[in-house]
Amino acid sequence: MEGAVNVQLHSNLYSLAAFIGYLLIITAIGIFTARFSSKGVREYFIGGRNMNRFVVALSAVVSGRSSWLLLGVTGMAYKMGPSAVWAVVGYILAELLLFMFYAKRLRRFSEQYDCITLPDFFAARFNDKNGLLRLTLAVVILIFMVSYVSAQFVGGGKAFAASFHINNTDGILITAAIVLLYTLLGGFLAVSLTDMIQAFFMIFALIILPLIAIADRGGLDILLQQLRALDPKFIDPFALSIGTAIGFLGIGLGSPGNPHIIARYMSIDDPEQLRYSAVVGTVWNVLMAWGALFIGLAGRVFYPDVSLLPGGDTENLYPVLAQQHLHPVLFGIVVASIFAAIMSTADSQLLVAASSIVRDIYEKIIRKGRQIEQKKLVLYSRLSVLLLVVFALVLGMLASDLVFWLVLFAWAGLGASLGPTSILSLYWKGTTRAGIFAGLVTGTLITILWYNIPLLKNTVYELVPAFILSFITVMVVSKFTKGPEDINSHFKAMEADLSD
Amino acid sequence: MLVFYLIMFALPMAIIAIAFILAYAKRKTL
Repeated sequence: MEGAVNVQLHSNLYSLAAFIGYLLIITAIGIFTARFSSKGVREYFIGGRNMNRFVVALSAVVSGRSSWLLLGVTGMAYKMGPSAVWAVVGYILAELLLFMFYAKRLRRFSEQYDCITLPDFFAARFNDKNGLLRLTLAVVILIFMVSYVSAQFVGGGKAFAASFHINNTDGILITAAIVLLYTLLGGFLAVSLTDMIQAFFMIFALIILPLIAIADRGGLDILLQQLRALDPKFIDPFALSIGTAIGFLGIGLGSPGNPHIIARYMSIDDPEQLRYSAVVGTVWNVLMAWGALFIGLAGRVFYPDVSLLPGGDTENLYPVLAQQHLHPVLFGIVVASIFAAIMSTADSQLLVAASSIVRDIYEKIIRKGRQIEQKKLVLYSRLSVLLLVVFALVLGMLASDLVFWLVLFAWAGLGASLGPTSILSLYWKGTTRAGIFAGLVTGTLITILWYNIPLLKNTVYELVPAFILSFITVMVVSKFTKGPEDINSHFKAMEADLSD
Repeated sequence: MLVFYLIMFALPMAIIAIAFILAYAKRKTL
């Protein structure tokens, strides 16, 4: 958002009113859900496994889509034309399959073995008695999630700074304060309900803006003719190399390894309803993604050269196009949708990080699973949320290079390490604890190595080879090591209604 | 131009159709 000097929300009362209305709604949700979330850690971290199928669908979908969709994909379509479509197809299909298959098994197992975090699942699945597997996972998740949250705050700060003409630091602090307020009070329920509201803001803005912009240009046919006149690649969905296409499709491999998405699957009240969530989630994902793509295409006609965008930055296309084509109230909604994307991701990541501290490290490792009063655990959870926000703020302001470096690897690193290991744990009885460790190390190392070797980096996105090699490593190491003895009861728990 | 229409209009509809079929066609749970 740097240099988005044209976005002046503060100067228009209608826009400001729409934006403030949005902030009031999400703050109110935090306050009204505080009582429910105070009951215990199950309520605080996965909504008491009692979440509605529609809420789960939207929360899972928008938690996975940060401002990357609104600012990044729109900019990508602006730069590349419709070939940017392959960057969205992969994750949409991956998340459809996760809803339909992976999520159901994970949800059933979670209830049977009282899992509320992803490390809980691995610990139960592999009888992790000494807690080493749980600790490893909790630390990895904590590091990546805090970095993610920090980056979201910085992104929100820039957006605030550009919209309200305040300085970046104040913008970061306001973003953090809003997320902190409703996450700390309302826990998972507040996060999921605000995600749902935010999903509506995002989809509305992503549908209305391209429709109006294309209509302003005289319709789709005229837009396409003008795009073709600029460069034929702007109407060619296949104007990209095979390596780039595979890398784009491979983005979807990150979804099964990102715990802030997976936690949503564990929270649904009835696992059979996940098929409904799959349809709703896919419709939402498709409409948002194609909206972002058409914004990029329309933007290219309005701003044929990137130098026409503020700061020459394609990430400014979305707010600038909105400001020039929409009524101020709708523009306020567009600005709100940027914050919605940022906050709906940050809140989920914050809660997952807090659950690693309280559930995994404190309750299960330090206190070795001994009975602890639920009220006390919720208090510790809230304190953890507060501490994590402070830590993420300090990290974002003082160590932004480190945050940038960690976030660069977060989606691919988590996807390549937790993705293959969780899939094989759910589907292959032969998976062993040693295999999981080997897969976690391989996925992380290959991601970092591949990215840092230019010859490899230029061939394909690091997540694809890292995911495949991690998958193979888990299988090979598992073949030579011994798995848990009660494997049949584990699989029975996952396959509860195989006969339906 | 046909390819553009196929990818930008038919593909998203096909994905949604796949979601409906996967979710509601009679099948065994994987």
